[in-house]
Amino acid sequence: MSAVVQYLLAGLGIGGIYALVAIGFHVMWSSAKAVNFAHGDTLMLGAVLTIVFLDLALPMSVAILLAITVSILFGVVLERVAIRPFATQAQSIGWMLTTIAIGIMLESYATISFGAFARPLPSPLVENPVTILGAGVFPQELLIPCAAILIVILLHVFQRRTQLGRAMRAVAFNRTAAAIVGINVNQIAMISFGLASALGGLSGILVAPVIQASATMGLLLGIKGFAVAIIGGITSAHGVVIAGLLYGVIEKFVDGYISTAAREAVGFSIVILVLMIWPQGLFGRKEVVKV
Amino acid sequence: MNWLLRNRNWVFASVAAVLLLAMPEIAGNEYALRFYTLMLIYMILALGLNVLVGFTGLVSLGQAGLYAIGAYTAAILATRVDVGFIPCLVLGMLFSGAFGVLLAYPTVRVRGVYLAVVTIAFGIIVENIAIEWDSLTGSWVGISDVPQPGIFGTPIGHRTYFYLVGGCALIAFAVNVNIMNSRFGRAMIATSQSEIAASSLGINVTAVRTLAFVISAVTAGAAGVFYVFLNKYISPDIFSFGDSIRFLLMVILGGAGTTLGPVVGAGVLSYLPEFLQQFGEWQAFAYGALLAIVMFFLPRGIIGSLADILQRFLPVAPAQVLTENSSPLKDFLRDGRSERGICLEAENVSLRFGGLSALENVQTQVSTGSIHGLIGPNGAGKSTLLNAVSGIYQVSSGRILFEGEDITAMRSYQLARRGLARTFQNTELFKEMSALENVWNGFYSHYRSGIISAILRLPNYRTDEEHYRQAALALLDYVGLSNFAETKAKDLPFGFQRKLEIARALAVSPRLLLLDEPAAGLTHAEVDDLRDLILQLAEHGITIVVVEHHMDLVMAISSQMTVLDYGEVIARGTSAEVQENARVIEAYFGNPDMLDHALSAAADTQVADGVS
Amino acid sequence: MTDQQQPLLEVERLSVTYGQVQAVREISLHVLPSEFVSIIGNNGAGKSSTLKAIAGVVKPVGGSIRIQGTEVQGLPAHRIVRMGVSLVPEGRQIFADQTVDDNLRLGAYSRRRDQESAVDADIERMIELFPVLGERRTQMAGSLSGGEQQMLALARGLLSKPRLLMIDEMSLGLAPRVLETLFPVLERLNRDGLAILLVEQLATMALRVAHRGYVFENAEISMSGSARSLAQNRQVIESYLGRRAA
Repeated sequence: MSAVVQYLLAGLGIGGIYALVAIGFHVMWSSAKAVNFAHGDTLMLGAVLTIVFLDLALPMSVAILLAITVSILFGVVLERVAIRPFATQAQSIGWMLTTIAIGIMLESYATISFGAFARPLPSPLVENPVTILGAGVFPQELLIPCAAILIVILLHVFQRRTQLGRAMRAVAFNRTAAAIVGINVNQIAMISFGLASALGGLSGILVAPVIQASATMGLLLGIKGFAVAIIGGITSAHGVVIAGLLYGVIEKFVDGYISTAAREAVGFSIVILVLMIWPQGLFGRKEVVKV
Repeated sequence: MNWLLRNRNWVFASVAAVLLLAMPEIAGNEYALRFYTLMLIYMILALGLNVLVGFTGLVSLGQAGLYAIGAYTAAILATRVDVGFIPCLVLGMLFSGAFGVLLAYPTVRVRGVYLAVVTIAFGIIVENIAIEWDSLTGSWVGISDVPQPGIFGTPIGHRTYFYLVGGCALIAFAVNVNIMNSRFGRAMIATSQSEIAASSLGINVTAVRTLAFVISAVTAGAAGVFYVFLNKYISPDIFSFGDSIRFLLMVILGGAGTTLGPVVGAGVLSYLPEFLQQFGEWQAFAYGALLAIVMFFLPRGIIGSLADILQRFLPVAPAQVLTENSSPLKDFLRDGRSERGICLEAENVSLRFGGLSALENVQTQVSTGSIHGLIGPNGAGKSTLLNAVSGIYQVSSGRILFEGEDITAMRSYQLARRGLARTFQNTELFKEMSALENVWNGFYSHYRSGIISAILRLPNYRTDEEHYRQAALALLDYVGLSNFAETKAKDLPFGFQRKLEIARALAVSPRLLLLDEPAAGLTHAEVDDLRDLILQLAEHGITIVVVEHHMDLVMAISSQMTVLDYGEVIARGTSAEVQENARVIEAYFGNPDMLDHALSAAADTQVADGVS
Repeated sequence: MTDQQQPLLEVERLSVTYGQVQAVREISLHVLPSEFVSIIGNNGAGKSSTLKAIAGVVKPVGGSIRIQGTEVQGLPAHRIVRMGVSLVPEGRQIFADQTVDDNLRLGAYSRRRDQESAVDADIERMIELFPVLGERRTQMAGSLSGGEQQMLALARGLLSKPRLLMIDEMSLGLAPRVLETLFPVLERLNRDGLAILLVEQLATMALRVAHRGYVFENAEISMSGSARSLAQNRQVIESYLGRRAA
C-alpha cells in the first residue's frame, strides 16, 4: 500500500514538471502554431539564473523575479527572431531547427559560465520529507503538481475573464477573424511567448530544488514535455496537464514494478501508441482539411 | 554549360570516383583515412534520409534509432555468432528496413509535429533499449572487439575498407538520383506538395511513404554496419537524440530534396567538429550559431540556395520536344463504354460534419457519355458531393455507384485506377514541379516496371519512362501548353494552371471526369476555350460532371443538370427545365416574385437609367 | 462625381492577386457617409477579395484605398478596424469555442480605451437589436444556428463602432425566412447613419435595400449605378441564370 502511494506521489511530482513544461508548449502553439523546441532550456535559464543571482547575494525573492524577467525577455526575442520569420511556411522544419540552434547556444553558454556540474537550488521545502500514508515525500514535490494545476486554472480564468485572454483564444482559433476584430496578431504571439517563457522560468525554479539545476537539465525535460503536450492534445490546456501528471505517474510505476531500465522505453512506446489511436492527442481538436 | 548542368550528377559521380581512388594517398595517415571513411558513412546515411525528408517531406528526428539498429545487429552478430561482414551488412539492412516499415505505419494517420514526436519517441526507445538490455548490448560499456571485416574469409585492410564504403556511397548516390528521376521519386515529391492531388491520380500515398521510410531505414542500417566495422566498438551514446538532429541537419544544411545536398551537408558536418575545435569551450556555441546563421541566410540549404541563384542567371532550359508522332488523344483514353448506361449514381447520399448536415439524401444519376452540370448557390454542398464521389470524404450513409460498382468505401487512389479523375476548385497542382512532371505523375499507375527496374535503369523501365514522357508531352500539346513543359506549375498564368490540371487528370485515362469550378478565375476568352475543350473531351466518350457558377457556360454545355441547395437536390433535368424551376429561381434570387417583378420592369425599360 | 460630400471610403485602381490568380483587376469604387452600397456578381468575380483588401486581410498588389481621405493601403487589419471600417467576413468566422458574450466583447477589442460601462451599454444595444443573442449569451458560439451565428457576426462587427460596416455574403447558407429578418436590421442601421458595403449573391435582395450597386464580373466592375437601375437591367438578371445562352 505505502509503495503504491509512494509511487503515486513521486509520480505526481515528476508529472507536475512535465505538465508545467507542456503548458508552456500549449501557450506557444496556440498563438503561433509553432513552439520553442528548446523550451526545456527556458527552465534551465530560470533555475540557473536564480542560483547565479543568489550567488550575488541577492535575496531569494529578487533573484526569482530577475530570473523570470530574463526568461520573459528571452521568449519575446526568440519569437521575433526564430519563430516569426519561419512560422508562415507550411513546413515545420524551419522553426524547429532555429529554436534548436538557439537552445544549443544557450546550453553551451550556460555550461561555460555556470559550470558543467549540477547544483541544488536551496528551498525550505526539501529539508524535511513529510509522511503521507506511509510514503515519504518532500513538500516541494507536492508543490509542483499543485502549481501545475493552479496555473492551468489561472490560465483558464485569464482566458475567459480578461480581454487579453479572450484575444489569445481568438488568435488560436482563427487568426484572420482575430485580426478583423482589431487584434494585433503578432503582438499576441509575442505576449504568448513571453508568458510561456515566464511559466518556463518559474517551472525551472520550482523543480530545481528537486532535480538540481545544471546547464543540461533542460534537454530531456523539454523533449518529454513536448511529447506530453502532443499526446495530451497541444490545443488543450487541461489536456496537456492531465497527460503530464499521468505520464509522470506511469513512469514511477514502471520504475517501481518493472525496472528503472524500462522507464523511457515504456514511456515513449506509450507516446507512439497514443498517437496511433488519437492522432491529435487525447484532448486535441481535429484540424479539418478543405479542398 | 547546359550539358554540364544536365549531367551534373554523373559529372559529380565521376569526379567523386576519381577523388575516392586518390584519397588514401592524399590522406597520408591512418587517422585521416579513418576520418574520411566516417565521412562517407555519414554521406550514405544522409542520402537515404534525403529520400524521406527531401523528397517525401516527412521529418524524422529519430534516424539515429535506425542507424543504431543496423549497428547493433552487426555488432552482436559479429561478436556473438561470428557472422562475417557481408551477411552482417545484409541482415543489418534488412532488420533496419523492417523497423522502417513499422515507423511508416503511423504516417497513415499522424501528421506534422505529431509525426515528428513519433520519430523522436522511436529514437529514444531504441537508445534506451540499447542502454538497458545489458545482456545483449553491454549497456553503457557497449560492444567492443568487433573483428576486422573480411570478405570470403579474407580480412580487408583500412584502405580496401575505405574503397568499399566509398563504392557504397557512390551506389547510394546513384540510387538517390535514379529514384528522384523516376515515377517513384516524382510521386514522393507529389505527395509532399499535395497529398489529395497525388491520391486523385492513383498514387497510393501510404505505399509511397512506406517506400521512403524503408529506403531511409535500409541506408541508415547499412551506415550503422559500416560504422561498427570501422570503429570496432559501439555504445549507446553514439545514437542519441542529438545525433538524430545532426543527421537531419546534414540533409537540411546541404539542401533537402537535391541530390548533391546530402553529400555536401554530411561532408560539412563531419568536418565541422575538427574546424570548431579552435573555439575550445565555445565549440558547441559556435555549432549552434552556425546552424542559426544557415537557417536564416540559406533556408533551402547550401546546394538548394545555390541552385536558386544559378537559376536566375541561366537561360531557361530548352522546351521539351515531342519526338514520337504526336499520338492522338484516344491512344491514352480507355475505350469509352459506348453502351448507353448509367456512369455514376448517388443513392440517398448523406454526409454530416459533426452535427452539421452537408448532404441530405442526395439522389441523382449521370448517364454515360453526357456532360452533367451540378449547380447551386454558394455553400449548397456541390464540392462536398464531388469530394464524396471522388473518395476524399466518406459518406455518412447511402451508396455511390460507378459503372455499376459500389465505390462508397473506396479511397481516392483506387477510384483513379478505375478511371475516375478530377480537378479541384482552387487547383491542387504540384506547384514546385514542372508542367511536364505534373502530367507525368498522372501516368503513375499505368507503369509496368517496378522500383528495382527504376533503380537499376533496366530496359523495361526506360521504355515505360520514355513512353509516358511522350504521352505527357502529347497531353500538354493537346491543351496548348507544349511550350511550357519545363515551367514550374506555380509560375504558369492561372488560366494555364487550370488547363494543366485538366491535362493531368486526363493522364489517368478517365472514363469519368469531375471538374470543380473549372472556369473560376478565368477570363472571357479562357472560358470560351474551356467550353470547347470540355465539349471535345465529351466527344471522346468521357463522361463529365461539372460544378460551375458561370451559368452561361454550364447551361450551354450540360445535357443534364442537378441543382443542390442546403445539401439537398432541389431540381433535376435539362438546362431549360432547371431555369424555369421555381425552387431554383428562389435559391438564386431569394424570392421568385421579385424576379418576375424585375423582369417585367426590365422589359419596360430598354436602356436602364444611369448605368455606366 | 457630382456629390460634394467627401467619400467615407475611396478605392482606386485596386488589384489583388493570389499567386498567379488575378482576383481583382484595377477596380475603383467609393462609399459616401451613410450610404448603402451593394456589390453583386458571380462566385469568383472578385467581390470578397475586394472587401478583404479594404479590411487589410489580404495585401493588394496595387491601387489606393482611402478612409476619409487617409491612405490605408498596406495597413494591417487591426489598424483598419480602429479607423472605423469593420468587416463581417464570409462564413461568419465567429469564435466558435468561446461564448456569445466573449465574442461580443472581442468585437469591442479595438476600443480598449473606452470605459467598460460604455462597452456594456453597446452590448445591451446589440441584444436589443438581436434579442436571440441575449437568450444565448452564455452558450458557446459554435452551438448557435447559422442565422444566429450571422447575427453574432454582425453584432461583433458593429461593436467596434464603425462608420462603415462591410458584410461579405450575408446570405450564405441561410434560409430565406432568416434573411427576411436580417435585411430590415441592415436598413434600420443604415437609416441611423451607418454606411454599409454589402457583398451579396442574392442580387435582387441586395439591390432592393441599397442606394447604389456595383456588378462584378471576372475581377472587374462590369456595371455600376443606382440600385434601382441595376435591378431592372436585363443583363444583370440574365447573367445570373445564364438565360442568354438558353
